[in-house]
Amino acid sequence: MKRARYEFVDHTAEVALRLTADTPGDLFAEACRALGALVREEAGFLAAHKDSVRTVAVDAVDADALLVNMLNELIYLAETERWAPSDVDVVEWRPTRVVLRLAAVRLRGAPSRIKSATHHGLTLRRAGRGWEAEVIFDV
Amino acid sequence: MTTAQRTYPFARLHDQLVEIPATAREDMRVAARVFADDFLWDQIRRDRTVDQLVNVATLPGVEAPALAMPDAHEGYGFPVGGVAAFRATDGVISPGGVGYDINCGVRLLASGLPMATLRPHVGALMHELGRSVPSGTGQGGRLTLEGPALDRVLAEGGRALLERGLATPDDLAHTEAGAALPGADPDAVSDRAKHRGHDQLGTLGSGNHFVEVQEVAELVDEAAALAMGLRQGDCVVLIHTGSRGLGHQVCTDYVRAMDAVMRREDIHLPDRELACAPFRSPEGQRYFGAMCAAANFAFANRQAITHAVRASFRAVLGERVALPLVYDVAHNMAKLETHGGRQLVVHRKGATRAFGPAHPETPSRYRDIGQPVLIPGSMGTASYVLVGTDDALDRSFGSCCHGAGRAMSRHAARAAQSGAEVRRALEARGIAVTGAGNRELAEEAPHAYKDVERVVNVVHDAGLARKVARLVPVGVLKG
Repeated sequence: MKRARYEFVDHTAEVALRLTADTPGDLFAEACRALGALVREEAGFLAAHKDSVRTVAVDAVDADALLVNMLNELIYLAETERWAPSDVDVVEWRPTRVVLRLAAVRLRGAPSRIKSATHHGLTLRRAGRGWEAEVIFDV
Repeated sequence: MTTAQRTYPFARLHDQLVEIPATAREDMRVAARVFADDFLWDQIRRDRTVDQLVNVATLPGVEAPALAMPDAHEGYGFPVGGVAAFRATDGVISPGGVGYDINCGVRLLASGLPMATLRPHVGALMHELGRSVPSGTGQGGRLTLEGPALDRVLAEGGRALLERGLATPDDLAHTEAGAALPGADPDAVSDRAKHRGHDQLGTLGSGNHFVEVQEVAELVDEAAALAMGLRQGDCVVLIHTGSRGLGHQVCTDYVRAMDAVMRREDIHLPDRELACAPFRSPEGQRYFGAMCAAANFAFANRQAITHAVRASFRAVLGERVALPLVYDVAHNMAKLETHGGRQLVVHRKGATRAFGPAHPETPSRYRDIGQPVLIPGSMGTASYVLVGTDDALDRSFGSCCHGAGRAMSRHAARAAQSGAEVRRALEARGIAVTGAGNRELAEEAPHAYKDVERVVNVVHDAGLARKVARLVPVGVLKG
């Protein structure tokens, strides 16, 4: 079994995220970790958030939109509550719904660099025995 | 990104304009045109800018041609620097075509102060500006608005700040659309968007947003400069920001909402980020109302920052400093405009409105010269003041470039020069920098952008706008 991983790749103006994982659920979990790392790097963080563990459910019309909507939910929580995921369990995953159990840290400030995850250039597909995705954030 | 760019046939129409014919891809409805000289055209073709522009040319109801300005670069959905007009009758409106930072824009304040008078106080002034104008990561601004107070800003834009003493009637007269788009519908803005923006009025945000103290280094058109209150050697202030988290959330909400509309209307797109709805549909009208409300929030945001900038100048230099507003212009917006007798929804994403002297929306003060057009360069390089032309209405739906435009990815910019090196290089040139970490400085370094002089020369030579004055930075507060 290979491990899920993420990397940020070159884009002229925005931030592009590349993900690989064995399963769609693992891939979504890795996306949460990547976004958490991104906002923690920008804003800095304290030890734990007062709501350090919470369940987040996101719905969409299809799997592509689900990935974008999930990341946008986390961007919203980071900006409005200074809440950034540090670890994640995927409780439920299907192409139109994901339920996440997230542990989080409290950010030192409200991150403002990432405006949104976008559908532009979005890929989410099988790759060999696993899955891969790319998503671009507007910054 | 690793995705290969597709190549298209093109013809050079003149020294500043290239056309990709409507036959270049089978789904194109109209031709696409790029304002660029040979050098910039080569730069623009390095990423997916042209592919994105061709995608725009496929949208329902698009009027010929889809346009890209000389500062264009790859974005998401529309290219940044893209202009496209859609018939109000049977065309679409696209949240992705406006972008996430709704009414990101620029405003210029004149001071009437010679830079020689200000220069001994630049350090103290930049410190005061950094204290007064929240930037980057933070806890919000000095104005926290909830409920009816926030709705009033969404409905009235900068006008809502008049009775708070944060704006003057002259400020409103010299802001695009009088600082308030009439189509705003606060009820179309989600509670999430309102929550995200409720404490962000008067804040810069991150990325390429800034407050710059600049010097008028060169006058190209002295009469036009005089009409704007600009004299050679004077200190001016340029402010660049937008609608902050509120606008970002409006775009996020409506890109998501368009999924159902496109299924119902059987609209198929080459890029899902071009998500759109027929302008006359209920969803199209609702997005238009929300977008106008977010744009009004942005006008008010730049106005609140203007108040803080004026207070900072007075704190350092005394009460006699006035800092009148020269102009405030948006560069991420969709507006209902009349062109050639037809109502069009003109999308400008990273493009500036540039109306000429004869246009009725040009403020009375500028009826002899045209609407001021403000083109910031990259950090540490020159910015330009231009005026719009009447010819631009025919050539570009009255539009012009919005900046230098990125030429290098953020990663490549960081690899080329560290933030500390960028800071030292700017300070060696007498430019004080505050408010930004080394990462942000490296990503926004001058070498990461196109040559603003070349970009401005293209729009000048193409007749989209005329050069008036060249400004150089003295102090930079980065978002």
